[in-house]
Parts: sequence; structure tokens; C-alpha cells
Amino acid sequence: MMAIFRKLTRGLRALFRSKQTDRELDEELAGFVEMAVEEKVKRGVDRKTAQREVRLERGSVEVAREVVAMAGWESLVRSAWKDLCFGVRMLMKNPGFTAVVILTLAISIGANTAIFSLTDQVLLRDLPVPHPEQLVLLRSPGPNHGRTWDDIDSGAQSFSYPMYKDLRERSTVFSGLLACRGITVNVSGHGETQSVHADLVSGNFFEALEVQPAIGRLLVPSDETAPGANAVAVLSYSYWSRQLGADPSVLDEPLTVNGVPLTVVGVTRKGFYGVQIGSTPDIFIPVTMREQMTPSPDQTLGDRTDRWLPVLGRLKPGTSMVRAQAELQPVYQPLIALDSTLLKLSGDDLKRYVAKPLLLAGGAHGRLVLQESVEAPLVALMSMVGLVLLIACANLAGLLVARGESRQREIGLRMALGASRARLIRQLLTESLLHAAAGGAAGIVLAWWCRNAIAAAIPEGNGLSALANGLDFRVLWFAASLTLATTILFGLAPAIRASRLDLQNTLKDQGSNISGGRSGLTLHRAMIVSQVALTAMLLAGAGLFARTLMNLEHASLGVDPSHVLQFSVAPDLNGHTAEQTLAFADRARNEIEALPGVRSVTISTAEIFANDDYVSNFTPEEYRPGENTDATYLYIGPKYFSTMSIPLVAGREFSEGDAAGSTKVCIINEKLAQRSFPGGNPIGLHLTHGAGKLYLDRPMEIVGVVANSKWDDARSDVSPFLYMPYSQNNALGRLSFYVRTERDPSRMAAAIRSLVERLDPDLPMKNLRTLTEQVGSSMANDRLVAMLSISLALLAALLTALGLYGVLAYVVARRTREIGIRIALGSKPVEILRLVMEQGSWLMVMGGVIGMFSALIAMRWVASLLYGVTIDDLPTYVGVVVLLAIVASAACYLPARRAMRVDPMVALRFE
Amino acid sequence: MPMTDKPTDLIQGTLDMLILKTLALEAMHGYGISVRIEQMSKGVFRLNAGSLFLAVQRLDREGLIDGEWKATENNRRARYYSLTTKGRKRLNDETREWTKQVAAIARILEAS
Repeated sequence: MMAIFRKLTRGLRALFRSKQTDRELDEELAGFVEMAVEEKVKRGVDRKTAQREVRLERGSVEVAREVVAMAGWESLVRSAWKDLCFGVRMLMKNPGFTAVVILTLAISIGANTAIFSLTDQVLLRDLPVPHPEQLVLLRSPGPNHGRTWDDIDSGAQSFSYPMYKDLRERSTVFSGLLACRGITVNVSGHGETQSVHADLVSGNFFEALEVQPAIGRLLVPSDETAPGANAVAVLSYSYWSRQLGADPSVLDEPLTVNGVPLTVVGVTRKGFYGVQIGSTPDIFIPVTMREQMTPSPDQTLGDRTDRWLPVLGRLKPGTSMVRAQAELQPVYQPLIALDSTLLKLSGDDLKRYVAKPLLLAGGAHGRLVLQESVEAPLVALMSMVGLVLLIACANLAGLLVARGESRQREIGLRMALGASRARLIRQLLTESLLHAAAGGAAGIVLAWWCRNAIAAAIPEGNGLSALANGLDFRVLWFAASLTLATTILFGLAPAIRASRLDLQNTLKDQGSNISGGRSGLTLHRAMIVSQVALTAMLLAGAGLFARTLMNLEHASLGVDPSHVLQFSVAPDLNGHTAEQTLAFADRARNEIEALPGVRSVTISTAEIFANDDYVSNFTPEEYRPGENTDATYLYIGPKYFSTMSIPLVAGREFSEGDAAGSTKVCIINEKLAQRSFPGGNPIGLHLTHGAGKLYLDRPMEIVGVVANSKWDDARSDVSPFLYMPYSQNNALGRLSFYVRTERDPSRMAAAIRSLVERLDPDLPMKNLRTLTEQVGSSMANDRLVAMLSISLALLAALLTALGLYGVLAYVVARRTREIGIRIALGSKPVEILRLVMEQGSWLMVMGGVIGMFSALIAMRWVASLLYGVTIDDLPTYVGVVVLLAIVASAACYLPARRAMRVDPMVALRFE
Repeated sequence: MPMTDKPTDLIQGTLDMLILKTLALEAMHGYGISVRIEQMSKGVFRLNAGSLFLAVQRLDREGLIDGEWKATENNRRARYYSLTTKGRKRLNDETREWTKQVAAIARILEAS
């Protein structure tokens, strides 16, 4: 131990006080020689002879000094430092080349890390709970009857609460069967009311997931006893630290949620976010509190025909999914049969309903709601950055090899002067490592920047927004090691090659080289062609995505979003009854309309362009069995169609006269009219909400037909719509307001906010923004894909241009002599230009053609992301060709110009 | 060249032992060490400067000897090396080991 320490300190002393150490050694050696000489002189030898004899007997002082100085470990450090200084000097001598290499490294590392990190979090990561592989999702695909909540999978993953409880009690394959439903609630306190995300969960939720509390306790099965009886809540760690300052005194204190005081019993451990990636529940509340948390008079916990609850199970260790699924069928059959009796199904409907199976799906990633909408775009983007990474590697390889070859002579010279192969490799390795280190550092910075840019591009509430702020260091490591390995490998190639070459040949060959042999260029050409092909693919993809975005932005929505301001409130969450909410709606409508600058105001019970729809069946007066009678139901206020600029085709709009007690009325859109009432005039006909024998309400009279309009987003097809007046909704809860203004709607926001706050200070306003913004946020994923793919494709084009330029510049440099001879023999500059341009354009044309065909094949995988454009869209491909041509000419021009200006006299003397 | 660099060529590590032995009596500078080894070996071993100072540096780094700048009898500055406790222990160990080995080798050679 001591010995190592001593070696280290002596070595360090030699390193940092090298002058003194050297001087001491010199003095010691000189003394040694001098004493030997004096000894001889004393014996009568003359001084000159004595000096020669000592030198012969004792060796030369210089060699001794070298031998001693090279022996310690510090000498390695010293020579490495020298290499480093030399490396930096070499890199500084070629700032252009160095910048290109470092930029290429940085871009490929940065972009890949940022996008892979996002993808990894969304698509690849397991839920942060122990043994996520044991988790399964329950789904029962097939026809839906009654009320079904559908956030994914056509509602196959929603179950009624009694069904869930029966499955939990009767099945034997699970160590825990849990239920969890995300909702929005109002939390009030400190004089303000906030809208927060909550999860309604079964009592065994945390036990089944094996989650630990940070403080207090989590919910247990005894917290799920009877409807309304379990007024407790668990906070998420992020909500607790963000909103409550991580104050432990919140335990056992009441928290007012939807006007109901819930006792806070604990906080979950850090990093737990429920069972859905991208969701960020703030509060966990027992499922038995549903009626208080999602008030609606016709929804009760015990209703078997109301399927609203997602269910996940944790399989007992050693139980396979297949076996569990088989064992669940006999449990599920009687339950689904019971449902069908309650739904009063008969005939084919009954047969198909009771045939619904209960299936299991892997649940390690949790509920896949976010993944369903972003998987395709993320995979597309990931493929694109992957391609950019390939291009970058090919580009680096090409650049480094070209540069290595231009240094062949230098390397040959060094070897001739006695540099060992190991020493040369070390020198080149140092240079490569310098490149790699600088590029890697810049890459990390760029990854950070890209991440922030992506996070900024994702609107709040998109689901991805909660995930966009993480950088994954494993991914960073992957991208970095790939590019760094490329750099080091191809940076070393010339050293390995040179050291194998016969010295004389290297020096001679370079000297007598006239036309720059073609053999060595095959690798470069192949790399340029593949780069061009990959770039063409990326450009084609970017073109298609850009056109998709343009098509979406100009798609006919059926509504006019300009000059409309929107916001939503949920009075029911504050404990308001339907009557109170109705009164508030009417009053707010009138008061907002009275504001200066407001043209008209209307209300609907769901938000447009937010995937907020309620689909149900209806029964027309003359029902033909087997007829498709589903429709999107929407309660709206008077002036809805005029405010939204949806043209009225026949009949009338709702008016103030369509009140709670008057005749029940409805308006349908053209799509519904054409499907359900083909050929006839539907006005005056009646239909009833509900199907089979389960009518949910009294019949309604159709009073109007309106033009079709989009609802979910610009991309989706128009669905059949059934509009009813909100005044006739006996469960009126949530309200979305739409205000058409005379001028810029965003300027009205403050006035409207203060007015609503005056009407009800406890009512949080959600999504107060212009309708144009709302439409924009519904296209956020399309915009993200388009923007990123365009950036990536341009980046690829830039890299390819650099690569092409590098190779052509190298070719021109190697052929300078040949070009000189040609000019001397009377070649015109144009011919020289053609000579160089031909080289570049052939590579471009070959790469372009390969790339186009690959794009045609590859684009099939992203076809689902496109809108209004097909994968063989001609204008896109023409655009790609034009862009590639521009890139090629730009990359060829500089070397070609240099070739044209070759002075034959200089060229022939050169080398 | 007569017998210049033979010691290190002959048996690796013996030079270290010889230097330690030389320093066992008193502190000495580099030239002193080489002269003493030459005298004791009756001229069989003559040390080359490189080998000597390489060994000295190695012993110094291992903490077996310590160097100190002092004036010589001729009023010249030289670094005098002396054995550390650790060096003395090492010398004893190596001498014992060496004697054992030499005796063993001698027995083998005499046996034939």
C-alpha cells in the first residue's frame, strides 16, 4: 500500500516538477561521470582519454538519462500528453474537417438520444412496480350494449363494477385483481378551486401492484366497503410535493374534493404514476366514492349495464396467461349471461353478446391508451432518427477514410523516420478520441436542447407532455458508443493500413500518382450512394408528412374556428345539481353575450376537437331489425350552429323555447339523415335514445337537419350526430362554452374569465383558448411528426452534401496532376467541370433511384399517419428529386471550381 | 567491452540485491555504489550508468532506499542513498533466499 503511494507521489513529482527532476537526474549523472573521470586522472590518464574511456565503460549519459526517464509510469502520461497536444494541433490545422466531424457526431447523438428517450418511456418501459411481467389487462371484445365507456379498444377494456367484484371473488388465477379509472375532480382549499386528475381505484389497488407509501398508509381492501362510505384519499408523491410542499402534516387532514371532505391517509412512493403511462393522477380515491366524484343521477355503482371500469390483474407466480384465460371462461360465462338478461337482449344480439370471451393481454406496460395514439408516429420518428444515425456513421466513415488517405504520405514519412506501428496507432487513436470526445460532449448538449424543443412542441395535456422531459442515459450511451466506435475505427484504419504498406511504395506511389486510382474509392462511392439513398427516403417521408399536415390544416372541418373562444367548466364536480347547473348555464350565456365585442355564445356538454364523445344507440319510429342505429350524442344550447358556422339544411335550430318541460326535440346531421332516413324528409319523425328494449328516455321529435362537421379532429370521418338541447338534459353536468367574437378572440379571454369568476368564484375554468388553438392541439402529433421529419431530412441532406463534397474534394485533390495535364493539353474549363460533376451526379442518381424505390416500400408502414396523400404522391417525389439535385450541385460546385482553376504549371510541380 | 553490463544480463534482480548490500554499511552516492560493487566483485561486475540509475530509481520508488543531497569529500554535490528499514528487511530476505538457491544449484551441479 505504502509502496504504491510512494510510486505515485514520486511519479507525480516527476510529472509536475519535471524540470527539477530532470535537473537532479542530470546532475547525478554528470557527477557520476565526473567522479569516474577524476579517478582515472588521478591514476595518471590524461583528461581527454579518461573521458573517452569512461564513456566506453559506463555508457553514454544521454542514453542513461533516456533509459531512466522512460522507466517510470509517468513517462507514459508524458508521451500521451504530447500526443494530445499534437492531436489538438492537427485538428486545429483543419478546422473545417474537425467542425464537420464534431457536428456530425453531435447531431446524430443528440437527435437519437432525444427521440429514443421519448420512445423508450412511452413504448418500452414497464410500469414502475415489482414484477410488472405478472400484470395482465382484462378485455372482452365484442358488441357493446347498455352504457360503455370507451377510451381504447372499442370499449372492450371497460367492465361494470359488479362484474369486476364478481370476477375478483370467483377467479382463482390472480394474486390480485384491481380496477382503476382516471377522472377529473375539483379540489378546493385556500380560497381557490383546482381541477386535478384523480384515479378511482379498488381497495386492493396498491396491494396488488405492491406499491409502498412515502408516508402514512395506502388504501387497503377495507377502504372499499359501500357506496359513499369511504371518504379517504391517497395523494401521489408529485402532487404532494408540488402542491402541498411535501408537508407531512397533511396526513389525517381533510381534503375537499368535489365538495366532499376526504381524509388524506397517505402518500404514494416517489415515481409511482398509476397504471397508465402518460397519465399523472394526483389523488387516488376508493372506487366506492364514484357517485360523489363523477356525479350523474343515472349512474350507480351497482348498475351491471354500465361498463366504465378498466380492470388489471396480477397473475399468481407460475400461472401462464393461457391457462389463466382458460380458467376464467367458466367464471365469466354466467356473468355475461346475467348482463344479457338485464339488457333484455334477444335473437342475434343475445347470441353475439353472450359469446363475448374474456381475454387477457400483457399488462407490463400498463394500460396502452397513450401508446395507441402515439405508437405509430413515434416508431416513424424513431426509424427516421435511426436512418440519420446510419447516414452520420457512413458520412463519418467516408470523411475519415478520405482524410486518412490524404495523410498516407505523412504516415509513410513518419514510419521512415522510425515511428513504430504502435506509436502511430496511438497518435491516430488520440486524434480520433479527441474528435469523439468533442462530438460526444456537443451531442449531450444537443440532446438536451432537442429534448426541450420536443417538450415545447407537445401541448399540455397531450399525455406525452409528462414524459418529454426525461433523457435516457442508456440511449445516450448507445448512440454515443455507435458513433464513437465509427470514429475510432475509421480514424485508425489508415494507420493499420499504412503500417502494412511497404514504405518505399507508399512514398513512391504518391509521388507518381497521375489519375488517382479508382480502386480505393469504391468504399467511398458505396457510402455516398447509400447516404443519398437514405436521404432520399427521409426526404420522401418528410414530404409526405408535411403534405399531411398541410392537408389537415386546410381540411374542411364543417365549423369555422376563427374568432371563437372556448372554455369548459364542470359545476357538477362542485356538487351542483342539474337544475343549478342549468341555471348557471343560462345566466352565463346571457351575461357573456352582453359583453361588448361578442357576437354570439353557445354551450355544448362535450368539448369539440378533444376526443370527447358519447356514442349510443337510438331507435327510430320504424326500426328495421339489424339496422345500424348508433350516433354521437351531444347536448347543445341555442345558436350552437350559427356560432360554430354549421349550416342548417332543413328545419330549425334550438331556441330558448325548447325548455326542460316542453316537447323533447332533437336535430340530426346529414350523415345520420342519409343513413337512417334515406330518401325521406326526417323532420317531424321521432326517435328514442336507447336500443333493444332498453329505452333510456322519452321519444324525441326531429326538428332540424344540419350540415356535416368534424368532431374529434380534422383527420377523423364525420360521424352521425344527434343533437339535443341541454335544457332537456336531466343530468347536466359539464359545460363547454363557445363565444364568437367580432375581433381577435384571445383578447376577450380576460373579460370572460373575470365574468365567470364573478358568477361562481369556485368554478375552475379549463382550456380557455381560441378554437383555432384547440384545433391546432388536436393535430399536435401530426405537427410534431412533420416538424421533426422535415428537420431530420434536411439534416440528412446536409450530411450527405458534406459527405459528397468531402469525397469530390478528395478526388479533385488526387487528380490535380491529371487535371493539370488535361488543361495543359488544351481541355476547356467546361470539360473539367463536366469531369468533376459527372463523378458526383452519377452517385446522386444511383442513390436517388435506390432511395425512391426504398421509400415506396418503406412508406407503407407509415401510411396510417398520412392524410389526403398517398405513399406514391408524385409531387413529393418530384420535390425530392429537385432537392437532391440542388444538394448535389452545391456539393459538386466547390470542388469543380477548384478543379477548373488548376494551374497546369503548379499542378505538375505539385508533390 | 569487458563485463560491462553482465549482472543484469545474468540474473534478473541480482543487481538490486547487490546495491542493497552495498548500502547496508553506509550511505553512498551512485558512483560510490558502482566502485564498491566493482571492488567487492574484484572487477567482475562493472556497472553502466543507465542500469545503475534505473535500479536506483526503482529501489527508491519501492521505498527500499532513500536519497539525500549532500557534499562529497571533494566538495561536490551528490545524492547519497541509504537503506530504509524496509530495504534492510528486503536485503535479509533476499540474501537468505539467494544462499538457499545457490546451495541448491551447487548440489545439483555437483551431483552429476
